[in-house]
Amino acid sequence: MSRASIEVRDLVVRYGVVLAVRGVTFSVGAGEHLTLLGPSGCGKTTTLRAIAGLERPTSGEIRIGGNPVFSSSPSVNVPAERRGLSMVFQSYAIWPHMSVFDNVAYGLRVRKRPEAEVRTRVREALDLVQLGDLEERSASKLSGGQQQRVALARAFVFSPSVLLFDEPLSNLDAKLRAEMRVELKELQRRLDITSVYVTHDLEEALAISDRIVVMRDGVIEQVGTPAEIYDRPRNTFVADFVGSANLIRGRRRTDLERDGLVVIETAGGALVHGTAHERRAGAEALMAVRTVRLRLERARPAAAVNAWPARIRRRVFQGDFTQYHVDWDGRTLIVRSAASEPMAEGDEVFVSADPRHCVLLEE
Amino acid sequence: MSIAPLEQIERARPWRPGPRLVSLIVGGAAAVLVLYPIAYLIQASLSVGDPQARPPEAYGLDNFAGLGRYSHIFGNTLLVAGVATVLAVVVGFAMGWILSRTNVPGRAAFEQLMAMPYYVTPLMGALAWALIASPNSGFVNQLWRAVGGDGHLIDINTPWGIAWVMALFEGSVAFVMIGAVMKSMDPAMEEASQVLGAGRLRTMLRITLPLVMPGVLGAAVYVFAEMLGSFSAALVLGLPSRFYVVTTAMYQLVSQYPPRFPTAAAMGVSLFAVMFAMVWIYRRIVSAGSYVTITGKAFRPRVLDVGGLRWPFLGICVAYLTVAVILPVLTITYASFQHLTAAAPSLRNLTLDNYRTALSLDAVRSALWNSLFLGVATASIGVVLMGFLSWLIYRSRLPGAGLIEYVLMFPQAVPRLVFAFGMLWAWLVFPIPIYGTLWLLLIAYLTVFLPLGLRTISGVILQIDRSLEESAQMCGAAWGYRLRTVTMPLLKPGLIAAWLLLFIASVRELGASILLMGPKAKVITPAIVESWFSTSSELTAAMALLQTLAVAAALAIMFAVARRAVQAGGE
Repeated sequence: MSRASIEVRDLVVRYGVVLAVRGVTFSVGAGEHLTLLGPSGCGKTTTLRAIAGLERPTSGEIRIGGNPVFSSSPSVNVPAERRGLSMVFQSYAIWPHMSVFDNVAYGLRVRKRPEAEVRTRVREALDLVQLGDLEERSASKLSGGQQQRVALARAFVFSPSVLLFDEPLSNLDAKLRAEMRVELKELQRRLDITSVYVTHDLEEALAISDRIVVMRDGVIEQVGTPAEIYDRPRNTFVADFVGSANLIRGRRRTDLERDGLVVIETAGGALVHGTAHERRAGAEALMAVRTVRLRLERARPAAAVNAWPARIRRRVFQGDFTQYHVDWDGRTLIVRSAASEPMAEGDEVFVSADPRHCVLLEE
Repeated sequence: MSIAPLEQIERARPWRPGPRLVSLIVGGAAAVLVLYPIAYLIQASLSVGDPQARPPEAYGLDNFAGLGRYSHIFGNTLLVAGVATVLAVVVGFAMGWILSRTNVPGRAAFEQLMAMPYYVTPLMGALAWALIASPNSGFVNQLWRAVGGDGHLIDINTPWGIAWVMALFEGSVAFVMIGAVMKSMDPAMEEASQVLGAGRLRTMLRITLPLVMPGVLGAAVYVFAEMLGSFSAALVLGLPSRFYVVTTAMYQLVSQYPPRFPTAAAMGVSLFAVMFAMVWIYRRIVSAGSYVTITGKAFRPRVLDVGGLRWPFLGICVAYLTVAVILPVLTITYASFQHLTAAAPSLRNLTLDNYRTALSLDAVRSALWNSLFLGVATASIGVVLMGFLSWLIYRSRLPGAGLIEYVLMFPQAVPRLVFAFGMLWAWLVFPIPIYGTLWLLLIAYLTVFLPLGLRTISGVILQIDRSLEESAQMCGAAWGYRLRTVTMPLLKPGLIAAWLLLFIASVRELGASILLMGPKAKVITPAIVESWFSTSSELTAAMALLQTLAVAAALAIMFAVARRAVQAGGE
């Protein structure tokens, strides 16, 4: 299988007066699965479409497999159909006037492959997405999940060097989406192909990516592995967007810092020990701690640091976990706990956190 | 994974014209087609030297200043258009409300039948109503005298008669526009009013009416603009009593001897300016008041149980279709089989002579063939041209696409007769001698029907998601291949509809044809009008019916072919 790397440098896309993407640089290694993650309007889809060649950037450079496909100087703009990429669209874009077979065969027929080869390869692709028995069906008579699979098969059947995904699962219902997420990951690994995936869904991004690029307002906020993004958000935006986090502000207490930990003192006088991850902080600092990383206990924990008394104010049962709103240090902390034995509203408890999970943020 | 890698798609390929270049050429050519005659029209209106001289000897505004002498004609035009608009909107509103909001019996069938007046055309309507109600020989007045009445009971050759016939035809246009607004209204808005305690009447007055008002107003302005430029009813019914509106006066000025081109041109430009303003107002109303239609969702309109009123409402629907469709068609048919039109049928008066004459006359036969040929040619070339132009305007994202759209929609604001007048001047000086041939008519039809074709096709294009084309591109298909395998097949239903509309419109075209056809290349509709004024009304009736039958037959063939094509297209 041919795999190609992608390099995007200083990409700027402007629509009239609106700057959709303002100077984005990243690269995707050959065979890597990269995800562009961000809220709607952050420029992730525009970036993907610029790589595809469906959107003409204002400036910057895009290379695929080392060859420039777009560059503002010298001026290069290879049309989308000659970039050797493929794409799965949010709307699937299944052609309703063709059968399932013809939809999938399209890319091969464009490339003038002999009809016998077309047949075997379409069959293989349809088998791979578990639609082997539907090839003669009219594409207009498919369910949403089936259309999704046809769109997938159509995208990879002609062995593109890169596969692009534009929010491919966003039109499916929650259950199907969870299933497809696993299947998609499976497929990606089997095809051994470079892929760029766009989504606003955190779980999707965490599940299928090797690396995640978090974007906001046309710029990159953080790049990292799913674990890095989740456990070590760089700033409040990432901490907030990537799962729910409690933000704690306080004054630096360098006098208490040892073992490489950062210590802040909140307005209420609580001392919070956290990890800096080579980030610099001034006299005032902000830390983030994920709601699932906080523990609630009835007795004071044995840990020397980061254990504080608190009171349960509100309990919200949510099925997989219970969300507690806890009065702490003159404010509310959100704690999500999967513990089977619930605390009651009004209980006096201890809330604690491992300093590794209290992450210093850049401001 | 067993799939073997494909070699890279070939990078070096022979030079082919890119979409940008082809688009610019086609879009530019179409724009020239529209603007060239308009430029000549304006030039002619400013010519103050010898009226016959081309190019003009001197320029000035005298022609416009001289229009004061014709103020009564402008008054006539406003009167007829105003009365007809009020009538048409009342008809359209009533029918729209009855058919989309009440439980009148046979709603679905009536809604389909409401398209019929469009197929009858104002010309047919005018001929039929002239037979029914002209002061001397009209059936109604014959009967009136037979029962002892004196003079005539009704006279169709009056402004009221002209407005009546135009309103019958435009009523169905108003119905389509107002009915669409009524249907696109979310019934939850009315339900909310009722839940909050308002009665039916209060809901109707405070919620329903204000919501549909912009749509009704838009329909009124649109219909009024159409009426200002309408020609055939005013010609057939106004000429005998020397009652002129702007279009018929222009026709008279051009066809009299010596012709007075500059005056006619000044009239045309004035009419053009007024209609342009109306179309502009219409667009403003539609875009400002579109809060009803803006969701674009299809709602199941709430049907009101009107109880016993169902039957009077049914009566209104039947009555409208009777006076607009059934009566005219029956009248024309009846007259075409008579020696001398008489209200009372008698066996001795029955004959097939009119058909024999019509079919044996070379002039009629060739006119019919010419029209059918032009219809097929206009529709076929038009669909390809307008399909490409729609794609260019709404999909190509070329700079200047918006401007091209604006220019191409121009003919909508220009009465066809006025447009043809510009073409008359423009193509007379054209180095290739096409004046007086069918080629000129073909060009004229393609130009004046641009808005019709563009609107029909673009409606379908806008429904096709852009990603359907983009995904073909991502599969490696170049633009020509995409157009052929994805865009065109998806557009097929829209293209077929556009073909049919263009065909029908061309075969029945009067305003442009009557000015542009040459003595050796006649077409059928002007021939029918000529026959009406110079031969017998019975022969004319036979010709009109033959035209209708020919259109129907051509449509039947086309439908059969199209159905097979659609089925073969892999349903």
